[in-house]
Order: sequence, then C-alpha cells, then structure tokens
Amino acid sequence: MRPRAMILALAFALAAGGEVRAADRLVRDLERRIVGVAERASRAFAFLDNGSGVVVSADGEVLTNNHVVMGIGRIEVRLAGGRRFVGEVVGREPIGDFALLKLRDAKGLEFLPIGDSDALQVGEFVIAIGNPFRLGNRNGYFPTPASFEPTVTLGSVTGLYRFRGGYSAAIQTDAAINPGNSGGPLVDLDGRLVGINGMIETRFQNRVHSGVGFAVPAAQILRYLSRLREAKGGVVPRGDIPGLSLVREPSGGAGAEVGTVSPGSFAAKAGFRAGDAIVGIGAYAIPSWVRFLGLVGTFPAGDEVSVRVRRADGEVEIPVRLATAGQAEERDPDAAYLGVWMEDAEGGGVEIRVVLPGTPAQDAGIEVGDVVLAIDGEAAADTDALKEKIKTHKPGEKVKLKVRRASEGAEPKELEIEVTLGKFAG
Amino acid sequence: MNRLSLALAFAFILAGLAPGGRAADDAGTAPALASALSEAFGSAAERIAPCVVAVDVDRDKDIPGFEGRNVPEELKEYYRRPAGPASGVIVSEDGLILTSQYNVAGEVRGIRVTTGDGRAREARILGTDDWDDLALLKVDAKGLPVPVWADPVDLRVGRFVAAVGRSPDRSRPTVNAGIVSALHRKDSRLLQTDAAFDYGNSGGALVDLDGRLVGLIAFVGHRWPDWGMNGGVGLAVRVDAIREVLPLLQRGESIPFPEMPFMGIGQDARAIDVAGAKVETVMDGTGAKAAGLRPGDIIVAIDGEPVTDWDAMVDIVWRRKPGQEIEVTVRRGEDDVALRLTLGRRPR
Repeated sequence: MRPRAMILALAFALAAGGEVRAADRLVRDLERRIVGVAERASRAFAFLDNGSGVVVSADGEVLTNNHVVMGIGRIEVRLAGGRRFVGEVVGREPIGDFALLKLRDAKGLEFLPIGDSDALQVGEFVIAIGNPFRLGNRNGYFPTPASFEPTVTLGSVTGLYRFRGGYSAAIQTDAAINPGNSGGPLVDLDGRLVGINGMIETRFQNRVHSGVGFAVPAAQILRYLSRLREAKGGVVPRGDIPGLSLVREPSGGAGAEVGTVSPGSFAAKAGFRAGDAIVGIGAYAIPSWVRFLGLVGTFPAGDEVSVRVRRADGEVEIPVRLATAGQAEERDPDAAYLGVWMEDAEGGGVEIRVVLPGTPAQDAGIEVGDVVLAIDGEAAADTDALKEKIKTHKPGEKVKLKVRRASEGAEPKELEIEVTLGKFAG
Repeated sequence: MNRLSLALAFAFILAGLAPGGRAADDAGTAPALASALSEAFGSAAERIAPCVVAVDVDRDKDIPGFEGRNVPEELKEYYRRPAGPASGVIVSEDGLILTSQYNVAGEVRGIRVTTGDGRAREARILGTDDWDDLALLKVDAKGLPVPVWADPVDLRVGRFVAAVGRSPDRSRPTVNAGIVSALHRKDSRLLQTDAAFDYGNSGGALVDLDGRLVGLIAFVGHRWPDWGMNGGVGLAVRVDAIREVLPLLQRGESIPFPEMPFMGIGQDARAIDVAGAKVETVMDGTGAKAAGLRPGDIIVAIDGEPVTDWDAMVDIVWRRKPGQEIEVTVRRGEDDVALRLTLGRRPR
C-alpha cells in the first residue's frame, strides 16, 4: 500500500476510534455520575421501621410519607450504617401523603438538598433510594446481621402532574419502587431531592413493582414546609377555592372552564364568574380542569395565589387567599365509610372532589371528577341524599354506584362501580 | 504526498487524538448518549455471551417451591418452576460450569448443558453450596471460553450491570440492563440489582460494562424462589464469594444450608427508647416458652453479653447453634431474672 494511502487510512481509523472512545466516555461519565449521586443520597437516607425517609437538613429534619408514620408520634430512625435517632412527627398532610419529622439530638448530618421538581422533563433519569422488603434493616430476610444499606434503583420520569387519589400532581417513574420504598427520596442526576416516593400501581393484588410508581413532587412539599414546622404534630390543611363548578370536558388545552359559580360562595366573593377560563396560577400554566384541581391541591390553606383567568374582554389576575379544603363534620365511628369528599354536581348528582388514600373508595377505583348518579338503583340527587343512603349501610356491606366519568378527548362514560364500605380509620 | 492529503491526514489524526474525539455539541450529546448506552450494554453482553450456557434439567421430582410455607392452593401454580432451560456460566476451559443450586435442585435424572455454538453435552454435579445458592457442574470439554472476573474492589452501587442468560432460546443470549442497587446483602455475599432476573436467566452472568463477571444470577439461597414476577429486586452471588467457594466445590465438596438457632419470641416493635430487646409474644412449644420468658420482658443480656436492642440480640443468638443452651437475663419490672433457654431450630 502506498505511503499516502496508509497515512490516510491510519488517520481515518484514528478518527473513527475517537468517536467510539467519545461514546464510551459519555457512558462512563453517566455511570460515574449515577454512582456519585447514589453515594451522596444514600448517606442522607433514613430507615423508618417499615418505610423510608430522607434527611433534608443538617439538624435532622426528615421527610417521609404520611402513611409511613400514620398514627405514630415518635419513631426510631436509623441512618445509613445504623446510627440511631428518635424522630418526632412535627407536621403532616394526610391527603398529599407527606410528613415532616425532627430527629432529637441531631447535628451535622448529611442531608439531601431540595431541587426543582417543576424543572423535571419526561424521559430524564431519576434515582430512587429506599428499603424495599426491609432488605437493608431487617436481619430476618437473610439470617445475617442487617447492613443498613439502602436500595438504589434507576429509572426515568415517565409522567408529570399525575392525579391519583390524593396525589394530585405526582411525578410518575419506572424506577423500581416496592413496599418499603415509601417515604424515600426520588433524586435527579444533580443529586437533588425532587420527590418522595409513595405509591405504586399494582395488579392482581400483587404488591410488587410493575413499572408505574408515583412520587409527591418537591415543589408541593416546599409550599408546606414552613407550616409543617409549626404544626406541633398536627395536620396542615389543604387549600381550595370552594364554589366553582368546572366544565368536565376537554378544552383542548384552553384552560379550566368555569361552568357555574355558587352565589355567595368563596369563589364568587373572590371574583370568579361563569364562563371564565382559568389558564394559570402563578407561574404555572393550566391546560385543563384536571390540572387546575391537581395544582390547587398542592397548596396549603391560607396560601396567597394569583389565578389568571381569560374572559371575553381579556385576561385578568384574581388574587386568592386559599380557603381550607374539605368539610369538618361529626363522624360516627361505627358508620359505613366511603372515603371521599363530595360536592353537589352541576345538573344533578354528586361530584367526587377528593379520594382519600387507603379507603374503600380508592380500592374500588373511584376517581376524582366522577359524578355519582345513583346508588343501588336509586338516583343520588345531591350530597345529602347520597350521605343518607350510605348511612343506612354497615361497614363491610357492598353498594353499587352508577358513575359518570369524563375522559379527555372522548365522550363521558357511565360506569357501575361496586364498593365495599369500610370504617373510618382516622 | 501532496499538501491537501497531508492536511487532511493531519486533520483526521487530530480528530482521533483530541480528547472526546469528534466534538459533540449540546444538541448532539443526548442522542449520542442514548445510542452509546444501548451499544454499551450490547457490547458487554457480547463479550460474556460465549461463556453463558443453557442448562436443561431432567427431573424425577422437583422440590415443592413453597416448602415450610402455608401457601394457598391457587398460589402453588405461581411458585412452580416453569418448563424450559435455565442458565449457567463456564468457569474453566475444560468444562466446569457454575449455575444456581436452585436450578439443579430436586431428584435429578440428567443435566444437559448447551454452549453458544449449539453443542450439547451431558453434565454431572460436582458440588453444591446451599448457603450461597451455587452448584458446580462438569462437562467433558476442551478450550471453552472463560469469563474475565471483575475485581471486587471495583464494585460500586450505581454502576451499570447487564444480566445475561440463555433461555428460552439456547442459541441466543438475553440481556437485561440495570444498576447495582446494594453491595452488602447477606454478609456481603450477595449484591442486589434492578436488572431483571427470572427463572430463565437464573444461573447466568451478571457483568459490568466491560463484560467482566461481577456476580452469578441467583435468587437468594432460600429453598424456594421469592418471585412470580420480577419486582426490580434481584440478588446475585458476588464474584468474591464465588471465588472463595469454587475450589471447594471443584474438589467435590458441598456446603449445606446452615441450621439456624431459634428462640420463639416476637418483638415489641413499638418499644423505642428501651435499653434491651422487648418481648411482645412468646410462642408455644418453643425454647423461650419452656425457659419461662413472658410478654413484656426486656432481654438485657445473653450469656453475660449486654443486649442494646432487638437486632443486636438476634445477632448474638445467631452465633449459636440449635441445641445449645444460653443464659438469658431479662428485666421484669424492678428485677433482673436469669433464665436458661435451649435453642431450637429455625423453621425455614
């Protein structure tokens, strides 16, 4: 081969090899980044008996799911490596399913900085840290001492602003999340906390990861943080704009259309009008009624928000100091319990505003936005009528609900849902 | 050589030698990374694939798959071993094959190993390690390809790994990608990964991006598998544990599942801020019951060794054997009482 051709061939080979090395380097860099994030985030991990938590301040503030510490005021917390602390529940939000703990006598702890969950993009890598099946903290799975080493799994963000039960704006991920992961952090590749993992989709009652997991977004928790700190172990109530009846039809991204505003209601006094299209809250765009309800659910009661509304004559900003969601009422502990908050629906029937986690309603598949039309064949004219009918049953009895469910981009459908009524668990 | 060719050659050489090769701008990096990642797992699998074999086992009788467990009738099907081959890894040129003990458990009539070239050979079991869930087989062969072993010092949580098996198609390896989820399960003998494990790739190879063997795909070392479906939790026998027992198995020796001691008490998990192990339940017919332990007792020492909490107590007890007698000091109200307890055998 002539020298010129040889040199060119060699040069070309080197260039091609360079590209392969570049690709390999990209992968090794990504691998190194994941290893680094896993290492740092694991040092901020907290074992909470049957669940997980994450340290978010050097003096021992720990975030977890509310359901991990339900009914518990004080819990033993072990950090990675087994270091022992007593954690006290400082404040909780049971519907959004998160809680703040404070570790006693803690200082100089490794903690995870909180990131911007609103900056997440579908498809980006995220890491879940948790303790599935108690693999890290129980010396019973294997007959060997516990290593207090958490489990690290890798996945992507597969969806954003998901509405599932009380999780009104959840991050969806396919990172492996199992029983025991609840309360643990979802971390971005910059090593920042973007969510608290708490819910998984399961089938055939097989409570094992199947590719769909949900995390409470950090943005929601941040809005509650100062109130959680002052809650003295109690509940921080959710915000709401009562009195709005939204049009339950797809608007093609044009916002949440207000059907009617109840006269004299909170929404009426704030200045909302029938026909308004709600298109934004603060920096958030609102494409649909589902997103509007979901977003309002991420603010605590008392928060001041600016709601952007489009009218025939232009856009207007309505300042709102959010009211408290839900109705406080006397509850008979032995009465049949469904597990929802409801409102009279526009045009008759009862609209489900909130489905509480871990309730008969959630188990039966009732969804927020469903309009209950009938119960056991009898028309459900309004909330009072529905509540009266439920009261005639005992916990454990089944009822058949006829429900109208809106679906984006399609005709609303009518479903029959059988619910086994339960007992109020508190 | 004319100036143009020289300049061109020079440019290519520079491109090849420059750090990062051909410069990738921001817009180009993401797709480049995406294809690089797929290629990376593909090439790692390609390197190990010749060393991964299919293992077909002919049985007279299988282990029940739920031994010692109270399993409802409809779930027995769920835990039954499906038909089809499992996997194994060649560990010597002359035909030593490593697989999981579960794969060759039961009353085995014959074992057939199929290599990547399609050749099938009869295999016999040399030795099993029931504790680590390993089995060493032997086939008659020469010049088989063997893996490169990873250095345990390089193991890190978060590193990419690929699970490579040879089932159900014996002619083609399967590749499942994931990361290392934990390194110190079961006394650091197992590593955990979210790369998908299943009955088919069980006994196969877990490799890093360089195609080096970091572990053997196994389930756990229990007598029955904890699956029905993969849930993102897979346990592999670590390369250092394998290298430790390989010489023993090669000699034809076997390691039985150790008998674990058993007291017969249940923990009061609500008792925090307690110096000791607080007992909530005492089971009938156990050593604890016979010794006179009562619900509410706080165990503060075992054979004179102070007990700080429940986990510490279990660690102390597990260093003993069934049949051994231990002295258990309990705080009962105001007093400390010493009880003599004969340890039973832990049910599996």
